[in-house]
Amino acid sequence: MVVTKGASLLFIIIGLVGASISILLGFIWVPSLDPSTVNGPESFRIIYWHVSFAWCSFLAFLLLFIGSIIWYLKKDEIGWRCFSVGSDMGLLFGMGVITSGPIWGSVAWGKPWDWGDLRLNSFALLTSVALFLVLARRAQQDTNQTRDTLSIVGLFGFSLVPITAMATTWYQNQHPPIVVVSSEDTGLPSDMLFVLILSFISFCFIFVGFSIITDRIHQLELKMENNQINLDEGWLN
Amino acid sequence: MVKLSSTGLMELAIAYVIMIGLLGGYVKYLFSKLNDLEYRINAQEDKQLNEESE
Repeated sequence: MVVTKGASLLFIIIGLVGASISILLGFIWVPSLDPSTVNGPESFRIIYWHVSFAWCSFLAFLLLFIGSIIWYLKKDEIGWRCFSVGSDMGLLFGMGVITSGPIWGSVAWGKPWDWGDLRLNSFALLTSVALFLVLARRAQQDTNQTRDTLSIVGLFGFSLVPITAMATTWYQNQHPPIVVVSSEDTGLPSDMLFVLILSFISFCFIFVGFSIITDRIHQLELKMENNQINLDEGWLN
Repeated sequence: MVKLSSTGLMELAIAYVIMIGLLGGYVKYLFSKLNDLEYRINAQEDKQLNEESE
């Protein structure tokens, strides 16, 4: 138990230090944009955390998808553990994207949200699915039927990931295109890309640390519930 | 929407504060929840042991 706590804390600390360094590098190493070409030339520096949050949310939804499949096909406890951690992580990292994006949008586009943009709206739906799964998991009794139903919703949620990821390629409205693929319209200067990748690796550490400890909490909650049942049965007998 | 600064620096700061708050808040939630659960499980197990010994 102490090892789990220590390991997750180590992952989280390494991740937070790396993420902080990426902000610093983003300010002192990467040059500003030309103010004549963009609105709010300093606000682009949000990319280093905003994109990392988004990519980690995709990782979370991948975990959710794997968990849903394993649970639905095999009824294996490990599947439900992946599902539970994936939904919590999806909500956390999705919230980071949903809150930071509109603040940047209000500077760059002059409005915080564009209801006609596929990327924004599909991502908002994805985060709503994660919110639903977290709330439903807590509100419903933990039975196999509940797990089956929520796994199906989880599978639906993951189907939104490729749509969200490819939205700017298929149908670009406001949101900037894919940043890691270099083409005529897409791509980043190498210094920006380096800081972004550093930030993403750091966020992966945070993601792993959070996942380990979130899973531990779910296991302890289950244990406490079982202990309580044993105690109650003891009282009845 | 009112723009707080022409360079977007103020908005950038607000966005980063929100994201740091999210991460910090989640860390605090995780560790306080973990400590609370460990304390309660220990109490449950102590109670179980006492009942068994009686």
